[in-house]
Amino acid sequence: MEGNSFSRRGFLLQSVVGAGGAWLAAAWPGVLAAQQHAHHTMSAVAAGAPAKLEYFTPAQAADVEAIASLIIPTTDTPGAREAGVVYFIDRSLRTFAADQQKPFAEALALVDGKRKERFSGSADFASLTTAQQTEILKAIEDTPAFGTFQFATVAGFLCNPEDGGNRDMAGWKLIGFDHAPTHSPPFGYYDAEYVAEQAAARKRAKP
Amino acid sequence: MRKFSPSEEVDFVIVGSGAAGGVLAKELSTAGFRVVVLEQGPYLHEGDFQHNELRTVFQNALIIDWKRQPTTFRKTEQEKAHLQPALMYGRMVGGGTVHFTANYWRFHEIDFIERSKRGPVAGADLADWPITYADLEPYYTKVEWEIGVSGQAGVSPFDPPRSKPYPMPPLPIKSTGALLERAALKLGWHPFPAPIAILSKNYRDRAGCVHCGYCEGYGCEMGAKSSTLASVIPEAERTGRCEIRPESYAHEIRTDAAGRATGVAYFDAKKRENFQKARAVIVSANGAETPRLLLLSKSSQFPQGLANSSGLVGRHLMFNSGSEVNAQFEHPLNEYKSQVVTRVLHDFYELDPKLGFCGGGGLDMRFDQMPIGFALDGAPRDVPRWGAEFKAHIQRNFTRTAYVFCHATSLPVPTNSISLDPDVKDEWGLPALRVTYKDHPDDLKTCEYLVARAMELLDATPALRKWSWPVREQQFGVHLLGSCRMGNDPKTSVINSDHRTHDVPNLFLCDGSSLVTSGRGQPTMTIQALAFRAADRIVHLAKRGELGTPARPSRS
Repeated sequence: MEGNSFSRRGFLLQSVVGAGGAWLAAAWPGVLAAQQHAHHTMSAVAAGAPAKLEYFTPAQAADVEAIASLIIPTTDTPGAREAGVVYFIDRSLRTFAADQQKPFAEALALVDGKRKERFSGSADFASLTTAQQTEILKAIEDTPAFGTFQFATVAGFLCNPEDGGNRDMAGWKLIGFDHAPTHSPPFGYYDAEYVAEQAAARKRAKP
Repeated sequence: MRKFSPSEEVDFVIVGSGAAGGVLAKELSTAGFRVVVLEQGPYLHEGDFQHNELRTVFQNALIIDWKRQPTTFRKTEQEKAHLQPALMYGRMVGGGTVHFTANYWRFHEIDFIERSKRGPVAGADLADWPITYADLEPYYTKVEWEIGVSGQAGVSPFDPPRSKPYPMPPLPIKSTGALLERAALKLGWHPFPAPIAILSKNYRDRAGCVHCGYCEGYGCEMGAKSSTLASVIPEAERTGRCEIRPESYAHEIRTDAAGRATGVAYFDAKKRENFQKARAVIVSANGAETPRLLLLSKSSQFPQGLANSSGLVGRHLMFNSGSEVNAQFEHPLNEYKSQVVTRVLHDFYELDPKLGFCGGGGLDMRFDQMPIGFALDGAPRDVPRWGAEFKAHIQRNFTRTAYVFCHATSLPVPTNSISLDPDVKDEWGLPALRVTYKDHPDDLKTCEYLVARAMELLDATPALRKWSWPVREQQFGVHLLGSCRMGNDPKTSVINSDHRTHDVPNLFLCDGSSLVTSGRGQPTMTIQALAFRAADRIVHLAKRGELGTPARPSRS
């Protein structure tokens, strides 16, 4: 994988060989079958029931959430943690991305190996300081494992909430994406300005 | 919808229901012929299309799945090809017209006669078409009115002559269109409203676009995008003489002792083999699958593959070259709303030969991403891929980013080809598509030239920052063109100007493979104009009794 050096277009069209390699290579075969599951789970969350982990152990989930929170941290706005990214990943590994269980486990093992190497007395990744966690993530930044975490985090942060992530549309609100079923012109600043100028010009042209 | 039994000999079997196959199905069934269309993909309907990026884009819901249908790639014929997604196409009823961006400019006069005008180009087999723009003009107009294209005639001074205006006005301008238009006018260039195969208002029995924004890469859930699924295929079915048979994967065209096609063998959804008998066969399977099907259909009678006495089946593959320049702006563009392109430039369509390369291009400005795709790949290289700075980037720039896209020539290089991979098989046990491709050096020079123009354009906008990606040799094709080219000489072409193969009198090919040159991108409009024209030619031949079809087809 060539990291950032391929073009955006190349990424979209060559998605299988693009960023997030292993994760994207999944055929996402059962994603539609998973829809009902995701709906069901999300409606439980919406009803105030606590979200449940179905794949990760609590310790694994804590590590995954710590990694996701480094990728999209909580700042003055919600991050991966508030958007429930760990629950999205947990569910997807049980359902439509089940064939990613092995690569995901390997990615976590790589992180854990680095932790033991660098911070031998530590218990797990989640209990390290943010500076220590950052050091480890930096060390694996150019590996396929990082791509796996990055894709899963971004997808969990910005997917349709019905797929189990982007809780309260935290990701969409952050980037200014209005998921309305229809829109009307003007759509943005420059076309609004253009249309206003055209109208003014027409008005001036009238005797 | 009428159903036929495979053992019932229909007049035409058409392989593929995309841009060309859909048009041919409608035209031939309307003319009174009985038609079966074999489509390898599923029959999805408007209700199946979702506003869901993860499922649609990252699940490859509407295109080939390389796990089931692998492709291999190599740059030159000396190399062994390796497994890699090397091309994509729409795999469903409607084909690529379901997910396309719907840019519908016409090819210009130069595209049909560039060889005569420019002379030979070393390393390419540039040829004139056996037809001219004037021959195709009535059919371009037919596409605009039959399938529904929005646009404004008479704005671009570079537009070729036309016999009729567009049937409906352009779609509303977006911020990228406004930025492009103002900057281009400052530079003395000639921006014009993009011709788009999406309805800007209600047209016939279809509703106009509501600007949902899930457009490029998505199926239109309300049928405003003029895919063949939304436009001509329902009309074909309404004749009562056309069956669209989905999940039918054609793998062999069979012939009789006289060398005439007898029908098409295909696998159904359960991988059972069937054979659809027909009096004539039309292949519109796209510029990769059409040559592959001919090569798969080799026999003792046709040892090089069917209709391949020239040895050119699969050769002269052209992807269209392309490049892009990116920019960020101060104010929100909100380009994720509505369809994609609203203004186009053709000032560089035909370039001065003194520049030293052969080619040209069209420019547009767009932002064709949804949230996940943008977050993964929408940043300049100096922005980190994670952490607070990454988060600040997606927060600020999702609504403020745009790209200038340069669409350009690919010259026809004989060694760029589709062939059968000798080792890799697909899920049905058939040899995989092998792509051999290396851009002609002139194509790369054209792209470099257009990047410089795109930078000039952005310099005339209030962009806060601009960056480009290096022009590189392509390894992935979306436009699949030229691989069974049209021509008068059976030694240097695969089909004649009636789309009839030189070798098999009742076998026709019509899709991207028929193109002799690549234009400057946006080939679907031309593929559909060819399909409307091919239908006229085929009806003419049938009425002369040359195809074994009834000369006066029943209209019952």
